[in-house]
Amino acid sequence: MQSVKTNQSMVKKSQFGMVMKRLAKNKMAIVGLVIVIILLMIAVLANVIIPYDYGYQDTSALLQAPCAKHLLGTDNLGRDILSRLIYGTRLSMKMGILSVLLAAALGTFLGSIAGYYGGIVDDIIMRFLDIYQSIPGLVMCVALAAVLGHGLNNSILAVGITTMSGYARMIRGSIMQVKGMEYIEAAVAINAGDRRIILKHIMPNAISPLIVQMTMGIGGAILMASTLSYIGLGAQAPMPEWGSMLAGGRSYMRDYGFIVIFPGLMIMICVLAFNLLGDGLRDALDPRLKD
Amino acid sequence: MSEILRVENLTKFFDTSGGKLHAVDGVSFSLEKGKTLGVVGESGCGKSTLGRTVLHLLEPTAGKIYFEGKDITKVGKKELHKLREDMQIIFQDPFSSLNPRMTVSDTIAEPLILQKKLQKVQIGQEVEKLMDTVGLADRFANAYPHEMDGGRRQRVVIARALALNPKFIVCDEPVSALDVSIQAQILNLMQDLQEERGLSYIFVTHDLSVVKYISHDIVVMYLGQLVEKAPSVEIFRSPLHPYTKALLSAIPKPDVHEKSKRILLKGELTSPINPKPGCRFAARCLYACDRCHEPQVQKEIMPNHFVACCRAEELMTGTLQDG
Repeated sequence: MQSVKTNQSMVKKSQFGMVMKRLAKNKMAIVGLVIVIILLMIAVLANVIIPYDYGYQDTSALLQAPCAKHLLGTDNLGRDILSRLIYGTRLSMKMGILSVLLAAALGTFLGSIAGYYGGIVDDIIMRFLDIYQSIPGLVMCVALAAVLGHGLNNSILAVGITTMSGYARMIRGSIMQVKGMEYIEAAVAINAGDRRIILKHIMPNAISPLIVQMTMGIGGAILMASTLSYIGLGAQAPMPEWGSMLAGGRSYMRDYGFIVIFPGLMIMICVLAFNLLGDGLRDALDPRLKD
Repeated sequence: MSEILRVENLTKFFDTSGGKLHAVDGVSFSLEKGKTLGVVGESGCGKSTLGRTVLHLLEPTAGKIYFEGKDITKVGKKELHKLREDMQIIFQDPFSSLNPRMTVSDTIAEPLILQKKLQKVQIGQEVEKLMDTVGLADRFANAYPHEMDGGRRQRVVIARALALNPKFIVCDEPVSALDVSIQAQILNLMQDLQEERGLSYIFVTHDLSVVKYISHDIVVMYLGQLVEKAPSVEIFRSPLHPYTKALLSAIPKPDVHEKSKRILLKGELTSPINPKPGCRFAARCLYACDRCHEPQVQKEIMPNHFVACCRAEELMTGTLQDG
């Protein structure tokens, strides 16, 4: 059989490289990615770049409006808001990322069992999740946080456990979809073992919605954790969690707006950045889209 | 000519909430080495299930499968792995039968990697050879499936199936997802491969012009059962079963002057779940009579021409009044 030969050849591209290339075409996603990277750097370098310790009280400058000494002003106890926000970035990132990892791990475990085995196992897990999801997320989260007790780590647990069901459903769905594809049957026909089929054929094709949902989930988790802190069930004072900063500034909001505006803005920017990135990834991870 | 595959009374039922779905019900046939057996029938008649059951992608409920004279109905994992080097499958839809995250060369190399017989360098050379065999330019080696058209994708699927040098391939509607012009290319490729390598095919399709072109023998299926079995030429010249007649009358004729007498079937396909004994086509058959509601026996009406219809003789001799 004679084939048509041309000079133009296709070079091997890595999956990651292709995804990044497609992502780069989406301006909003890049904005999101840049903000996320900046936030992560702030979180890592928090100790180095904060002008004051997050607990340091400048008693000579209570409720100070933004000025040269305190760039974003001080709160009612004279603590530097910029320092607290920077340190709070570390807390929020930690909470967002860890609770999403926890949720994704739990969800992937349940979802993949349900998806692989199907039948009665699937039925039991899915009915359990139905009940699980009929409880409003915030209510369950508040209840869990109240049972587990205050503190950052417990709120990570609470948020992670609450948001798990979404991941379970999604992973189940995408595994079931991939499992029905003919290339899985083709892999069986060429003697691929279960392990190879799962790792090489099912996972790479089922995982991309998970990556997208995790990225977007971080924003949601940060918001939920802030909510917990705001109602006093999350991180406790003097930890500068954004939500608890909002809660602390509540009574001074009318006269000293900057106390709540900046933490509020941080939450908004952070959630927005992760959502933009997630949206971009959704498109970039689809291998069927043309470059 | 020696026989490569024989299937006796092959049966595959699926359990559904409504009862037992008779996907394949007591099908028997044999396939000669280097020949093509066409399996035709409408959607849902169990022809794909038949192909998959032969390859043990689905386990048969009952019946026997012999491959090169050996009973392979019940085989262990090890034997099955060995067997699958001789028996491969080509799927209908090259969009879904290729992993979208693997390049062409990775896909073609996978069976060779799993076979663990060749070194990495040899696998590379083998992949190049296979790509050449199926007419894929080597610049596609690192392409992903979505970067190619349907015809090229199907060539990749064929190359993957050929990688282990099988003797027998089940082709599950390999061209029905392709454009007509590309269909011809792929069919020619498959015929060339058959001649070069002495391959035997089971060619599952609903496209009668395709099956006429490629098959030596044809079996016609209706709701899981075999209704007629004959050499290709014979079945197109003198179809005997009323269902085959209706099926063949649906082929458009390229002659404006010859008025085609299309047999229009009335009614719907009866449900394959817990079917009644007797001819499953009886409900839609123009010639149905009381005897049709009893189980039908397959008879050799003419040499090598088998029909499962109690009125086949009457139909053939024309001594039949419409029932």
